[in-house]
Amino acid sequence: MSATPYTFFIIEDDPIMAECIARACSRIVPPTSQSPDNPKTDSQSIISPAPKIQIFSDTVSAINALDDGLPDLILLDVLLNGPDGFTFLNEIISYPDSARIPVIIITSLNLSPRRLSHYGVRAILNKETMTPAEIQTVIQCAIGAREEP
Amino acid sequence: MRSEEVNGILVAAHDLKAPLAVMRQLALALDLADDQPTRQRIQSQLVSVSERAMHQVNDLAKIARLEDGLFEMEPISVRNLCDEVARELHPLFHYKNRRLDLSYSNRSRLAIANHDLLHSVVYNFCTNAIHYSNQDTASRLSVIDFQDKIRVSVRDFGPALPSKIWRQLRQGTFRTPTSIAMRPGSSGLGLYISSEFARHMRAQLGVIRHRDGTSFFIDLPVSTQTSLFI
Repeated sequence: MSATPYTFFIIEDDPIMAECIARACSRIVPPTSQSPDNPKTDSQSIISPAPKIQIFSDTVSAINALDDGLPDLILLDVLLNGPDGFTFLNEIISYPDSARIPVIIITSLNLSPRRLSHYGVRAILNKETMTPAEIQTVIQCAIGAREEP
Repeated sequence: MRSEEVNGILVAAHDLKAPLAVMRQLALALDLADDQPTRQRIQSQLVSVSERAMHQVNDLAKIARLEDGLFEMEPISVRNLCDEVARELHPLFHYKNRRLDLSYSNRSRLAIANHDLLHSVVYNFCTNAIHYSNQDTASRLSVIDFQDKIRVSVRDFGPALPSKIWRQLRQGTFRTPTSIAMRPGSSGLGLYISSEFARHMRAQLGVIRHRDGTSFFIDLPVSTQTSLFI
C-alpha cells in the first residue's frame, strides 16, 4: 500500500539555505489511508513515500516548471535575482489552478501574513529564527488546510 | 552620526547577518542528518560559510587600519594569488553548485600591490559572482595585460549595476556600503571593501557592463622587478 508523494517547490537563491529547507521538508509524508477491512499488520507495512522536492534559484525557472505539473506547496524566498517573490505571487494567482497552491514565505523581511493571505500565502517563516520542526509544522498545517473538504 | 554612515552600518550588519542565518540552519540540520556522509557535508558547509563570514569581518577591520601603515606594497605574483583564492573558494563554489573558470593571459607576471588587500579584493569579486551565476553559467576569473597594467577581473551573469554606482566607481567616489536594489543577493559591502582597498593600493577599480552580466576588475601597476616566483 502506498500514498502519492507530495511535491514541494523551494524557490531560494542560496543553495545551502535551500538544501537546509529541503532537508526539513524531506520528512513530510502524506497520510496513508487505512481501510478498516484491511488493517495494517506487521507483515504488511504501509509505505509513506518521501516528498519530491524541486529547488529553484529564481522565479522564472519555477514558473516554467509549473507547466510540467503543479506542486502541493511552494516555499518562497522574497529577495531573489530577477523577478522577486512578489512578482511570482502575482503570476501564480493569475491562474485558477496555480492560485490554489499554498505558499509559505521564507524571508528575513518583516512581512505581514494577513496582507499576503489573498496571494495564497499561508504562513511566513523567519529565516533567522525558524527551526526544522517549525518548517515541518507549518507545511503540514498548510497542506492539511488545503486537503480539508 | 551622518545618515550615510548609519546606512553603511545597516548594510554591513545585513550582509554579516545573512551567513549567520545559514550557519544557524546548518547547525540545526545536523540533528536531521541520518548518516556520517551527510553530517560531514553539513560540517564542511558550516566551515565554508563561517570562513566567508570571517573574511568579511576581517576586511571591515582592515579598513579601519588602512592608514596605520600595516599594508605595505610589494611585487605580487597575480596568478599565484588568483590560484590561492580559487583554491580557497573551491568548496564554497562546490556547495553552491557553481563553477569558477580561470583564464590567465598576462605576460607581465608581477604587480605592485599588498598581498592581503589584493587577496580580499579578488575574494570579494569571486564571492559576489557566486550569487550571479548558475549551473549553466560559470563565473570567470581572468588576469590580462591591460595597457601598462595587469587587470584582474571576475565576470558574472547578474543584473546590471545601477548607473549611479557605476559612475561612483568610475569617479572613485564610492565611499559607503550601499544596498543595490537590482542585486538583492549582495548588499554592496564587498564592493565598498574592494574600492577602499583599491584606493589604498592606488589601483583602479572598475566595472564593465555586459548584455548578460557584469565584470568587476582591478587594474594594478606592473612591477618591473624580475620575478623569482614564475
